Amino acid sequence: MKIVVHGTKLGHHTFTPEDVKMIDARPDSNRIAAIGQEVYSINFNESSVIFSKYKIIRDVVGDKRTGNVAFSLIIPHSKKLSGEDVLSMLDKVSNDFCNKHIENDNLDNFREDWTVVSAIKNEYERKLNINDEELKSGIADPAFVYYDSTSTLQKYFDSPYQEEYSAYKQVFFVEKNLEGKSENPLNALRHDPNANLTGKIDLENPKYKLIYNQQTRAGVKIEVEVNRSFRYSKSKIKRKEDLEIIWSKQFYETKVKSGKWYEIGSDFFEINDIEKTITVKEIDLLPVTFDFSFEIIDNSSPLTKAEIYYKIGYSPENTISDNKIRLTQEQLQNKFTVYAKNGNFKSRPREIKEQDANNIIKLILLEHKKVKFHVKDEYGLVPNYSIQISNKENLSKDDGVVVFIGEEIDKKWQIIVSHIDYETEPFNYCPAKDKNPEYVILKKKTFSGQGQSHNRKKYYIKIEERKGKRTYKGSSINEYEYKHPQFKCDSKYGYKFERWESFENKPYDNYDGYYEAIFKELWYRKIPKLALVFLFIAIVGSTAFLLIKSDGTDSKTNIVSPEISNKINSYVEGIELNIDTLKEYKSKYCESPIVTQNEVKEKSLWQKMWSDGSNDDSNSTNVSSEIPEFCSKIDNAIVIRNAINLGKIDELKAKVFSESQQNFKTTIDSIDDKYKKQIGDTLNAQKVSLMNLNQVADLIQKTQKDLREKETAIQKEEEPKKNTNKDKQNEQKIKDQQKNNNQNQQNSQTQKQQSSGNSLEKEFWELVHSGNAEMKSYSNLLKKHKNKGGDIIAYLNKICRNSASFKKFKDIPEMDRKSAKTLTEIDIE
Amino acid sequence: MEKKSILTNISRPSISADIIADAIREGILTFKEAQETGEFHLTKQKLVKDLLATHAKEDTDFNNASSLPLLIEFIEKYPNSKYKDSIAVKIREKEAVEREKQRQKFEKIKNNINDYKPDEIKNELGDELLRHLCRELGIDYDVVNNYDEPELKFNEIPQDTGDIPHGFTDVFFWGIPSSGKTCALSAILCTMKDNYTITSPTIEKKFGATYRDSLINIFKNQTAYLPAATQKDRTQYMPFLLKRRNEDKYRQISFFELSGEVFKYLHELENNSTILDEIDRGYVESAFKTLNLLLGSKNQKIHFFFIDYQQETKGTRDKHNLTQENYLNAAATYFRDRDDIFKKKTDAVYVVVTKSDMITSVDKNKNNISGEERTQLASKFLSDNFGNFMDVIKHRCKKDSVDFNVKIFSIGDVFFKSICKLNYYYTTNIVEDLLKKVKPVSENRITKWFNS
Repeated sequence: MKIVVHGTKLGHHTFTPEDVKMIDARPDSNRIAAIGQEVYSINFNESSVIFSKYKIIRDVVGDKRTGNVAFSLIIPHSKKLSGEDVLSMLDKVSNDFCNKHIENDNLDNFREDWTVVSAIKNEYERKLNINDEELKSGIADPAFVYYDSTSTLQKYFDSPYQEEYSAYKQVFFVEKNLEGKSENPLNALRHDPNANLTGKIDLENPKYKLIYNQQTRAGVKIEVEVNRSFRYSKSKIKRKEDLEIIWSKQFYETKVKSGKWYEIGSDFFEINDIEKTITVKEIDLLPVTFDFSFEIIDNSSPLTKAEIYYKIGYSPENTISDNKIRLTQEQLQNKFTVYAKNGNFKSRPREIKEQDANNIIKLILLEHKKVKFHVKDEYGLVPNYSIQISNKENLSKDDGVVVFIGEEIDKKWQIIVSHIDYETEPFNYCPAKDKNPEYVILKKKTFSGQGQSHNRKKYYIKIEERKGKRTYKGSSINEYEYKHPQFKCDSKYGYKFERWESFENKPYDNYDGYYEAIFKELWYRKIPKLALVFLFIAIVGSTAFLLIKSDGTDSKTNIVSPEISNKINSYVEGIELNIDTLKEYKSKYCESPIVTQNEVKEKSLWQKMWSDGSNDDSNSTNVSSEIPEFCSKIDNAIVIRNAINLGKIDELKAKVFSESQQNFKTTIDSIDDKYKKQIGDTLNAQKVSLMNLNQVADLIQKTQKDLREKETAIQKEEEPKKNTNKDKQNEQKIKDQQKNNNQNQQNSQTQKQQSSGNSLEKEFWELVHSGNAEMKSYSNLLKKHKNKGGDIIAYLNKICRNSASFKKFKDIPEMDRKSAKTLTEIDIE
Repeated sequence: MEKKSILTNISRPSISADIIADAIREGILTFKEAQETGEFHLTKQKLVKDLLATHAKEDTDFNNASSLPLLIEFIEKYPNSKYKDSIAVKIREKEAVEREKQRQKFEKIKNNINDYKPDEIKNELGDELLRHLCRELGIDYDVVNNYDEPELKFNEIPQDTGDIPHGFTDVFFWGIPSSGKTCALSAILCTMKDNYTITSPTIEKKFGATYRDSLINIFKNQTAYLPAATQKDRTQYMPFLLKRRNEDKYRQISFFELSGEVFKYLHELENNSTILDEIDRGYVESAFKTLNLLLGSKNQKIHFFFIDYQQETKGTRDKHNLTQENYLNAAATYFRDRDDIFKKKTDAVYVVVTKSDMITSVDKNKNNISGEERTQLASKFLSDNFGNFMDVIKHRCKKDSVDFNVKIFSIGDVFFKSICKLNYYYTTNIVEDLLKKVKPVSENRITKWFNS
């Protein structure tokens, strides 16, 4: 408990040493007639209720402006003091202070030791009682209440925790006789003139603590609403408030009682007027039940009596007496089935639901006939078989016993008894006419490899290679399946897998049938892939073109720089002569007007704009309509490559070759006429289009050598027969001479090559063994010996083809390179 | 009548109870002596006893009649009392003393009229003397008799740039709480209303018209009930049009009255302190936001800093133990640290010493003080008490080439702390300054179009 004196002394101050934030109740304007008047108030902070007494004064320090001095008693929410004591205490403190420091309603500067206040506080602190109510003031401007007597004011102070106060910062209590007068102290205190709470506070409506268990031990849930809003246990309710109590439990009848608590009655509440508590009683609820009635119907003959059996969940089967039963909703949460039975006559089991209650449930008795199938083979009874009966629903069978119900007994059924090791033979059976028990004889299957049943049909999985892959999501698809595939199939470009078409009865190779993957052709399939590639190239090209254009080049002309010209010349005179590359060069540089750029690039548009014009003629670009010289070379190279690819040896022999191509030229020239066709066929048959000229030359040499060896072998076989013929001898001489000549020629050539080959070989291995891994060194070596052929040149061509291929060479460990003796040891493939 | 004669004839009707009682009252005989005669009839004894009791009461009342009201009451109660002459004398003496006291009180009040509020004066002097005092002071008795605090009505203030009308000269009124800003503003506005033409502008969003009217309306016939200090932050913004009555063109002016709480906020900013009441913080921060909006606007600006002469000379401290100087120093630091505060289209800065009527001559015997001397004393007052603030503001103005002036100001004669008779001198001086600084609006079509 605290006592705080505060008020206006050139601004609002707390005079007592207590460090408590108090309300500054000054309004924007005052009525001076209110000076000298007194008023009480109640407000709340987080932890306490604050009772105050205000006196309207003149603030002498503050130029005698109208102000107030307030005496506040702060009591924590956990404590309470009677209204009488509160008033008496506030009056004592205020009287003591005012007598000392206020003269003619003027509050001047003062010095106070507050010992009297402490004494008063000690006196009343002993009177504090326990309290368990709480309230917090709102933010609206203060409200007010007019009281007609001190005893009424005491009542207000006896019960300060009124919900009606909670919206306001403070509630003033003003003597009734000051209402409407200029002396009304509210005229000098901030307040809301419309917030008159007089008559709105029901002091005869005591609060009780509501106590209840939200969930009782019996599982009953209790909910309490006060004035239509939920209230927790231990909250306060007023005597006159409207209550609604709901007792509820799943599967039980909900009980609702509403009204004022004294109206609802003692069956549901326990009232303690001393403790001021209302306890909601825990009551028993009635379970929700359903009544079910049954009627037994027999279409064949009138039955006097049949038992009705029921089963709930896993509980044992029981009988129903008098064809009626009452079940709780909780019981019905389990499966509830009933059936009627009399001898061989039995109704189908019926599951009963809540909605069947109050209707008569008909149970129709039907004859049940059990048929026993004995499954045997030549040696006796066979276990582990299965019985399938076509079109029979609710097939119930146990150990070969099949139950036929009602009309089923007179029907003819196709029955299949199957077993993994036996042939399956369907047979017809009529329960009414045929034998019971029925003996079924099974025949053993004959096996055909890999433990597969002979009878088990295999279906080939057919996938058109052009449209699909024999995979699904990366996993391979088997060649055959025993049943309709349960997977899809990965498709190729332009197709989408749709379904498996079944051809189960159409034998395919060694299979009983096949499933064919059906693909849907996608729209872009109709566009050749190459076209898409070209489209892509065109896009990339045009982008690049635009970029180039921004740099000032003419859009309608090609620029062939000397570098390009050199590059093309070098290519067409080299040994690669790839047909695609040649055609590309042709289309790029020979099929549109050519601009040959001799010097620097043309200035960009920006540069043009800022040029002074004097250099207009300095543009060094020459436009020429002439076809460059290298175009004829490209044409010639294309002819050569086509002749190579098609094996046209005569055409090749007539061609002129560059220095680099001399190895090839020599080889072509060395082809014997008699071998021209075979060699030409070999070239045509093999994919020489990917070989360079040296590789083709090697192939020609090898082919010719083989042909010769073959011929020699044949000659050796035929020699005895031919030796007798002189002409033939002469012919042989000539041949030998020719052969010698050829041999000499070859030897001469070989020697020549040997000499330069030795130099190349030496230089090559020196370079390799040096550990040098610079492409330039190897390229230089290749350039130096570009006219030569052989494995080393082929190897150099291979590794110097591009930086990627050279990297492969470079990636060979240096140690291996340095110690290599043969090309095989440093092969990059 | 002699004792013997009374005692001898005590049974006779001629010796009445009055005679016996008077004799006993005067000590001629005692009641016991009368009883001892044996002829003092019981009925007469009772009558005598009653009379003796009445006399005893009259004696007590006489002895207790020490004040003028009691003496008058006594003589009214006992018109035939044996003390009536004595009482008459006492009454005359007391009345003379009372008259002298009233005269002295009257003189005291007359010489210190601002120590009292009107309602106190009424209680102190009574109706007649109050009328007399009013006559002597030259103020209407009814004005004093009917005094009550005026009620000011407040308006919203601009919250974003779009709210601020363009083409106005924004006049800022700075001052700590109770520095006299509001009174000065009401006097200035009243002067404008009385002697100039003031009207509301045609702008999209209306501000301050209610507040402006309530400030003007507190004056009636040049007399006003001064508004009390407001509890809450009351930053107000009032745009209006003003012209001299013989002029054609209006000036577009807006008054921006900053609440004194803004100075507390400046003090918090510059001293990292917490002195604002939490309840005010939201209002002040909102006002500060508006202040920054206006400072940053494209409108021309004039600043008035109001300094209360009286508050500083009395050494008044607020509940945070801070003086006006403390707050102005905080403001000075704020202005010093913000290079651009006067840069943006500031026409003039004025430091105004309010309540300058309180400035007295150094010579205690000298009652009258000339305007020139008052201004000099005001300058000295500013230099002595607010040297730092003045230096910063002057320096900032010099640096930004802004016109800087010191003015003294008084709203006029103040009676009983609350009633003012407006003196147009100081207010007219400020209004004229404003009219000189603010250019009239050219109402040509192009300007209209630009301002629309």
